[in-house]
Amino acid sequence: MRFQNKLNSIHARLLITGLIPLAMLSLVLGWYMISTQSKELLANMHDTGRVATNQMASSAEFALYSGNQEMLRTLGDSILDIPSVSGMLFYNSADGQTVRIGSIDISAEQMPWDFDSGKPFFIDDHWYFYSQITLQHRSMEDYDEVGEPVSEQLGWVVVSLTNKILLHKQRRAIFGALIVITLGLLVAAWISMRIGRSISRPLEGLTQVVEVMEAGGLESLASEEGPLELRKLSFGINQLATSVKQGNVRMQSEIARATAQLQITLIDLEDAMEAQDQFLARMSHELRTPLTAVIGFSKLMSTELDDRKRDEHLRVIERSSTMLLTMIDDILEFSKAHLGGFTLEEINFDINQWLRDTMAIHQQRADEKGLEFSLDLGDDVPSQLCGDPVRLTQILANLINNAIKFTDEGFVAVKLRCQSIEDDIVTLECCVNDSGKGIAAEKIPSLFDPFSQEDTSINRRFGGTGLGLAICQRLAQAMGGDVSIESTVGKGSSISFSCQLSVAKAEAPAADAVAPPEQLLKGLIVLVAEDNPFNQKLIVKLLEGYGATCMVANNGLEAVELANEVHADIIFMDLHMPVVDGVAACESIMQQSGDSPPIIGLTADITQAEHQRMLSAGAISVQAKPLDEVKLVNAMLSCLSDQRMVSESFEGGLLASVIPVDELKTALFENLDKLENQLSAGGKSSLRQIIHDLMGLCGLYGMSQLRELVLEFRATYGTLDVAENLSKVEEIRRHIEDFLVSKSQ
Amino acid sequence: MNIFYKWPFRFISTRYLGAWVLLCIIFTNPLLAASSETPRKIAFVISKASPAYQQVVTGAEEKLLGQSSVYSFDDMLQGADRKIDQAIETADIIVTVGAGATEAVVSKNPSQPVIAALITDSAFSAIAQQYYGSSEQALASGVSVICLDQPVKRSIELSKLLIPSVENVGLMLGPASLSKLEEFGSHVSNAGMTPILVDVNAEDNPIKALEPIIKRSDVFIPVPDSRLINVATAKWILQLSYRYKVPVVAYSQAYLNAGALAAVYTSPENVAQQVSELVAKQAGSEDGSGLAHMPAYFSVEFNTNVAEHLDIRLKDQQFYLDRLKD
Repeated sequence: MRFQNKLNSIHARLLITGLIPLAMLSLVLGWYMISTQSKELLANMHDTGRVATNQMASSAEFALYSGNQEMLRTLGDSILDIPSVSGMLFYNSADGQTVRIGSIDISAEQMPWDFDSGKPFFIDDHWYFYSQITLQHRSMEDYDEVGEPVSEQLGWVVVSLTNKILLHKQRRAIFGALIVITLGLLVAAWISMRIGRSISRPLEGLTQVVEVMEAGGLESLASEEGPLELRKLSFGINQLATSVKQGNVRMQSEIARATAQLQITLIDLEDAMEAQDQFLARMSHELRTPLTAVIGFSKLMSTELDDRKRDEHLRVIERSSTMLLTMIDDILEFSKAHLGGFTLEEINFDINQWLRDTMAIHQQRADEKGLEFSLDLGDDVPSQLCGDPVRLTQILANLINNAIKFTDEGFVAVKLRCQSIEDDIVTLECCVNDSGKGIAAEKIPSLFDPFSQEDTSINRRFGGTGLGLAICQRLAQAMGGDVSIESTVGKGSSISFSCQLSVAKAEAPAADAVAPPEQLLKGLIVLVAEDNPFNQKLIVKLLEGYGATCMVANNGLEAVELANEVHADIIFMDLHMPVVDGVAACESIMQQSGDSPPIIGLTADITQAEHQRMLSAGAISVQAKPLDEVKLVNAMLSCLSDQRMVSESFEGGLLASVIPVDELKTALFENLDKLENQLSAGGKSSLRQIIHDLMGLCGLYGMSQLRELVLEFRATYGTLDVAENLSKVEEIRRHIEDFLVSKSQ
Repeated sequence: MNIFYKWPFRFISTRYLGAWVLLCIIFTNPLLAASSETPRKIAFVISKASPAYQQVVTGAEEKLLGQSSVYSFDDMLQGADRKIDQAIETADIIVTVGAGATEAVVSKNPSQPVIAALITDSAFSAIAQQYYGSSEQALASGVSVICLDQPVKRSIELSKLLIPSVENVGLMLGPASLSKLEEFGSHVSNAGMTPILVDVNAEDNPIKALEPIIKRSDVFIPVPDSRLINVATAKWILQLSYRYKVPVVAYSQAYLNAGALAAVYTSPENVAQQVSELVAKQAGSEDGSGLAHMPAYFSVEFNTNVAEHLDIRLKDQQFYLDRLKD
């Protein structure tokens, strides 16, 4: 593994890359050198043999012709000095004599006798070279006309050369070549190593620098040395390190800035939390104040015999209850605005009528305080507009209410102007001026903060949740406008809001707007899915009063079956029902057919999440319990794309028109009796259903205090004994009796 | 650049001087003859067109024209039979240069006088034997001969002149020259030296015959014999002379170039001179028969390398020529 790691290194690879071709080159050159030298040695030996043989052949001419063997021996001895020549043999054709000189073991029979080629032959480790000995005559006449005389063969000579010398020389040549190869390999290795190191060392240096940088040492810089490419790489790494370093500085700066922002946000949050705590404390106080009044005057009612005082007590109780309800409505509105914004209606309405109705609501209070209450409607304001008149009323009523509330004398003037009309979009500005105590300039911005009022004394003096302006501002913003305040302490205030409405496309027939209530829903078939019989009765009677025909389903399953069997124009679906709840039933109905009737959800749960569940399941809108008769009917008409609306000023209401107090009392007490019986019997299986029915009745009837008591009971009955639970039930019973007494009056 | 190498100027060079002279002679001679007397027609027949043979012809013709302008020449090569036949019919004298040319002419048995030049004694004897029965018959038939072989006496005298201290003079004789054994011996003795004579036959091993003689000699003189003997012995004479440091006084330039110390020989100019003189003197005797002429002129040359090797100091060439002429 270690060896493999070494092989994987760049240094080793460069070494191998450089060494292999050089080694191959050395081997090839060495082989070539050996081969060439061997051939050359052989050729040299052949040349030596040929030269010696030819020399002997020409020199031996005289000795052979004269038969002088001594001369032949002398001649032969002269070339025996050549190391490779081992011997020779002369043959004289004239006498057939042979002369052997030195060591030669060849016989005439072994000779190839190919004098033309003169090719040497090899026998027994000896090379043999041979040649004819020819006597070449010359004419010594100046004027010879015959031509050159013919030559005469005198014999032949064979010269033997030992191969040992050649082999010895070849071995020496190989040895020399091997030395050269070895030296070549060593030089090649050395060169490869040097080249490899010249590349690998800067790379190793770079690797170390990168490792240091990886560990955070961005101050380290790579040395820009070595080959050009590595210098460029080092330069790039240094640039990268510099960039990373600058990036880190920037990032740290960003973190510091974000941290500071977070700290600011945290402070704001803490401020908000503190404001919320203060608000909750105020809420607690404000809620307890009317509650205390209600409870106290209710107790007084039981002992007071004087009818006039009893009436007085009842008014106090009613006012306190109304205050409580307003508070709760404000909180709900703000919660809605805070969580998901408002759902604005697009309804055609008469701006003049709307304004006068709104003024009329507050006319009585202004008169009571002796204030001049005036309206100034600009001529440029279109009479018919399309928008959400209910929300507009909410804003304007809030502002007028505040103006009346904080003005002890003088006037409250309402002025409405058209700022602009572009592409059928009308920008209105409504200003409420008063001659009240005014608001300090530094306090004005905080008035739009939720749960804030100018100071805590205001709350104590004038009440209120401190949410009104915040809600107004959000509503105005939702309508494309805003709320602004101009005020001078001691002189009065001018609070104005702007909003964008569209010009009504088609004017609704005036007759519809004033259609009699019993004709408003005539011909409509309404499916009411409600498990509580009392609620069923309540809703059915209400709708039948408007001319609708109702069918009742006791749970979600029945609702689904009925919706499948009968064509209903609209469905009211309670959220909490046995067998199949309202959400599942709603989803099932929506999946049945493409033209399923519009569904309006009903729930006593005030959380936005529950409302969203119904809407996600397919409901067009959700109505909160206790049911508001006007809202309920308008929601129906809106679902049916009916331009007709039921006015707030419509006389009569749900309670008045539908529910006799005696029936409500009977229903409530029946449930209380069931509750007591269950508690006395020790059975808790149906307790939840009884409590649910009770809560439904409370919600339906707007008995919020009773609902709180029931909720408290539901939360604690498991931890209390039978006597304590019965005591709680008795407390609820008394509360109901007090409430019903006040209603009956 | 030498303009004489450009056409046609290159034919003006000395190399073609002889040809120009010949042409001039050919074209001017008839005119001259016509003005005085009928020119004598001389036909030259040469064995081969080598420079030596041509030098003999041109030399002779030049010399004849220098003496008189009443000659016309007709040159031809051995083998040009028709031309030779025509020359035999029309020529006044036929000069053959070389043994081949002589045989080509005498084989046709010409009636005109024939001068055979540049031919050895043995070659002429052989041709005469073949076509006339003997040398004497050939001479009687009008064939004169200028023998190529210089007298051995000149070689012996030259030996004495070259090395005055010479005592023993070796001479090699063959079958053709064996008859002059005594004459040669007397020449040597007359010169104050001791002759050592060797007789070499075709069957003998020349080395074995020559080596003892050369070994004992101070100077060795090969006597021209038949071609067979000459060829067989020349190589060994030179090798033995080299081995035993015995100078050789030879009879030809070829011998000299092969390693002899000196040579007394007949050059083409010598032959041309003698031919021109013979033609001018009517070539033969008054009765029309031919004569055998010894070479009247000779040349002497030396191999200075050999002389230096043998430590022999040579004198001016003319010195030797003058002495030998005396």
